[in-house]
Amino acid sequence: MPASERVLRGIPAAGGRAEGAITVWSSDASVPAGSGSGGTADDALEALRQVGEEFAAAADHLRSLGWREEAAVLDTNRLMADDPTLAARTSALAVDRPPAAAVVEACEEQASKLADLRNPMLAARADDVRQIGRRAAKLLTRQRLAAPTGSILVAAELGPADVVDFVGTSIRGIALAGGSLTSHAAIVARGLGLPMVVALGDDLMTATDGDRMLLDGGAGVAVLHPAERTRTKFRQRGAATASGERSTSPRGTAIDVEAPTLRCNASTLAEIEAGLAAGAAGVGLLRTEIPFLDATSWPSEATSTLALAPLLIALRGHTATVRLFDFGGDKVPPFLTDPADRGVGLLLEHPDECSAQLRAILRCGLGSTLRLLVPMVETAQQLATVRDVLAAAIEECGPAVASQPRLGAMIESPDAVSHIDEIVTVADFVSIGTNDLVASTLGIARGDPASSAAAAADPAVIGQVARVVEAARKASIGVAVCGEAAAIPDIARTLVGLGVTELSVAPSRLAAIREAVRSNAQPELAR
Amino acid sequence: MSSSVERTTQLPPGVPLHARPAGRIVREASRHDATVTITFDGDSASARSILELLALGAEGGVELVVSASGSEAAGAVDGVIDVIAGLAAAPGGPGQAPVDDSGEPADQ
Repeated sequence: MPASERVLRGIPAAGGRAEGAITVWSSDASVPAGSGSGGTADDALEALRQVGEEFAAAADHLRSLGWREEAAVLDTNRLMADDPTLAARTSALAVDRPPAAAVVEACEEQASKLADLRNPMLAARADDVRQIGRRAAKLLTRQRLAAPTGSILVAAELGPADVVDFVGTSIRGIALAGGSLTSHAAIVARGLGLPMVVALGDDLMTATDGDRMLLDGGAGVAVLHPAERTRTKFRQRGAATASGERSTSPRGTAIDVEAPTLRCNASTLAEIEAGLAAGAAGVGLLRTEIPFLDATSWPSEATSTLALAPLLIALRGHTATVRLFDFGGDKVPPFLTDPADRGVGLLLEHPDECSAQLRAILRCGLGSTLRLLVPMVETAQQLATVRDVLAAAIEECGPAVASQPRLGAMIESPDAVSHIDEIVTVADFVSIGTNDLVASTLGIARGDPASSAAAAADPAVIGQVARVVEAARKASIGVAVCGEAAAIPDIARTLVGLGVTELSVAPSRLAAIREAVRSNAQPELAR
Repeated sequence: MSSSVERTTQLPPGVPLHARPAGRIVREASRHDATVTITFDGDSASARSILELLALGAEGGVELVVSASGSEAAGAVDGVIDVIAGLAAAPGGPGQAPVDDSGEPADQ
């Protein structure tokens, strides 16, 4: 007997509609999720083999660029992933555990043996082994998502580092029991145009793999076990929406304000590919911290290289605006316990780790027009100090990366705006992060639904943006907006009207924003 | 035909058995049809396992026992001993200076 229909109401996090069977997913590798979490020891060994191949490919890439020493570091990581002892322990543990849990646990066993030797070099290798385990577990998750029971992902929560697991899979919609509107998963979902509803409540988790669901991301509704009548209505409404979208034809092309450069925001290869396909002039904000939000140590140059190489290879010949690690605030990985600072303040407390990331970016960024973006800058001195660290990193990298990338400051707080006249004297460009600027200017928490992008239209926020634009204009440098506010057509038009020269938005918003700013010059009354 | 071979050698002074040297031993041991074991201070490690080799925690200058069984046991032991001896002198590789895991001299 079919289960009876249940309508669950949550918060709309990303618009769009999806219909299909569900895949229940858990981010905790040790907990079997749903009924389809199976898999065998062979799957775990195959995942380790794939991790080894990833290291080999990254090593080949570095070697092709002439960095033999750096490639050799990745070669040893490959030997670890291919290690026969690790494979044997993984097989043994997989007898009574899900494969992802077995591989994580086997790596932990080996890592703790190295860590017990209390030698700092070997402790660093212990972290390498743990990272191999996490990476293999992620591949196993991806493998499951690539052949899912259904096309709608159902989970209690999605951690920020989990987002890389579902991009590029056949998942067409996301329903979460918890979660928040401004979570990083929601940002990526909007970027990819995946409908997503959050805060549907614990009742959602009574669903099992294969159950049918209708998901309306714009309305914030999920219907479990939909009746045939509901499904028909859902499809009719979907068709009406689609034809409505088609009817919004171009409103004219009069341009007397210089059209802004449109780029995309990204943290994954899927977003970069989607953005370039949608005509983005490269990436205006590449978030580098997302893959490391569950890391247990600061990313080394090698691990950064592994994460960045595929992204920056895809951006060869394009502008690649790489933001340095923006840890702190709501992005605190396990290796940072209760950091007092965030963004650039935190980076400058760890100059060696900052330099390691810069070297990885410089090396991987060869072939693209590289720009570096420094998060949460509040004073000119902070940016000047990063410039010194950058100069030393370029020196260390040698002649192969001699060109000097442009260095920009992210302006995300009222403090930064109050120092903007000094900041623009040391910045090659500035980029306004509206998400945090809105939250801090209006005194609301970033996770608060009220801090939605639309709040950027508040006169207090617009006033801050205008101050930044004016200072940038006087200093003859470009000014971008890369917050979510830039993806709202009306606000994008306002920003361009203020003199913003570049907008960077989620790939799925490029078409709408191009349309919006094309008609920028049209007076309000004509519409 | 199977045989068993054992020889004693010394890690070059200043060359602890860290990732890069261990990796070279793994590559050499994997070339031979033999089960190769390296013993240090009573602990044994498979010479095909970089993780077991690292877990020995062998510092530079210590004595290692290399033993092997299998059809290519003799060649495997000779090969591994050559690799260990060459860790000090390999061109572009670690020299007499202490090395870190990238194989670069630690003082650079």
